[in-house]
Amino acid sequence: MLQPVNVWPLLELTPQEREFVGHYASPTKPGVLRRSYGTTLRISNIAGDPQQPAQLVTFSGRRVRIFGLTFSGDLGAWLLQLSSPAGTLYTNGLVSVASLLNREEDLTGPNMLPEWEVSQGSPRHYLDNQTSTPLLFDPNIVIEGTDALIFSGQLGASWLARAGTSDYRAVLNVGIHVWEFPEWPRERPFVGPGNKTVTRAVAGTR
Amino acid sequence: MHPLLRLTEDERRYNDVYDDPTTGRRGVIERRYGYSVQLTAANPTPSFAHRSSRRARIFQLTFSGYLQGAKLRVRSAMGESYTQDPLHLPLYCGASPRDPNSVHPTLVPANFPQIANSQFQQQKGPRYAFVIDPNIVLPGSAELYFDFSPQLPNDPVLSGDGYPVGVIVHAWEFPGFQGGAL
Repeated sequence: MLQPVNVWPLLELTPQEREFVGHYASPTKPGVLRRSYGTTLRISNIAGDPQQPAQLVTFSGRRVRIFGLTFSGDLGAWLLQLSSPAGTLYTNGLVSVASLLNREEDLTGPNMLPEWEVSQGSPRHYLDNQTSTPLLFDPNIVIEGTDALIFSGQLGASWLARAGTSDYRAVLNVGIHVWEFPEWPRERPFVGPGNKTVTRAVAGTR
Repeated sequence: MHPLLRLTEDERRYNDVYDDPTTGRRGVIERRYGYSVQLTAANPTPSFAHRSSRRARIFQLTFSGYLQGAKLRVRSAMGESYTQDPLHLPLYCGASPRDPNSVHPTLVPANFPQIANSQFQQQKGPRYAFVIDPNIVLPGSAELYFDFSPQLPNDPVLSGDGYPVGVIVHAWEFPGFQGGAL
């Protein structure tokens, strides 16, 4: 039998979740959805460029479990803080994205060297650089209702030092990979086949 | 890299992992559908629709091509967006993370992203498949849309050869599920 060798986690439901949802939809329960959101941080000194050093990511309003993040862009340039509006810090302040992803090139500290540089490399090698496997959270980050996630970024000292006074624009794209729980009992009653309302107790009130 | 097929109770009423002549349940068929698009100045936002006549579960996507120049959004005809926002393609599969929006005097080549089209250019390809668990369930004949757009608006590469992208949709299909297509 083939083995599930995989960089992505597979969904496991808790007993409480199983009361209200299934891995897949059935006539009595909705199924969990695997969805992805995205956001982009951007810092630039180019006149007229939009600045996005922080982004608030809102979700669908369904209960959400965030299980992984993926990154692209200038991975060696960024320090990132991940937090919730309520004040929970998922990173203890600004941390290096390169370190989070276990990468070699990290230009966030002093006197750090890039893997590729215009003066030393052929331009055709610029893309010869691979992103990392997803940054996973287990236990997942749970977002209830209209809660959100805040991504705040800052550019690293070495990356900025190499730019000097020239134009620069640093980009960090983030993919936010989630499981969503439709019709979670805190939202509204699940409407079953034929629009028959199925009444379910709100967790914690029984 | 391959997830395991696990059937739900409902699916076991009509199908099994392999054909079972004693019960008449049909085996699940694993199929791959190949698509390719090219983002160009004439058509910077190509899309395609995936469909199969049988009920299907899409369990993973794999990609090829110049991925750093494009974004992708996946949505169903029923209105469910599986990616709420268009995502830079390396975020799905771990290809070269370089973004054509990046500008830096010493760390980004002056002619980037045009060098994406240069001959003998070296580039890291996708690193892993985009595994979807729970799978995307498509009823027979339902459609899944793949909408592409450029990562950099007015990208000069679009006026040249553009960004060719290949996509394989990996699906488990359920012949005869609830009396559907065999």
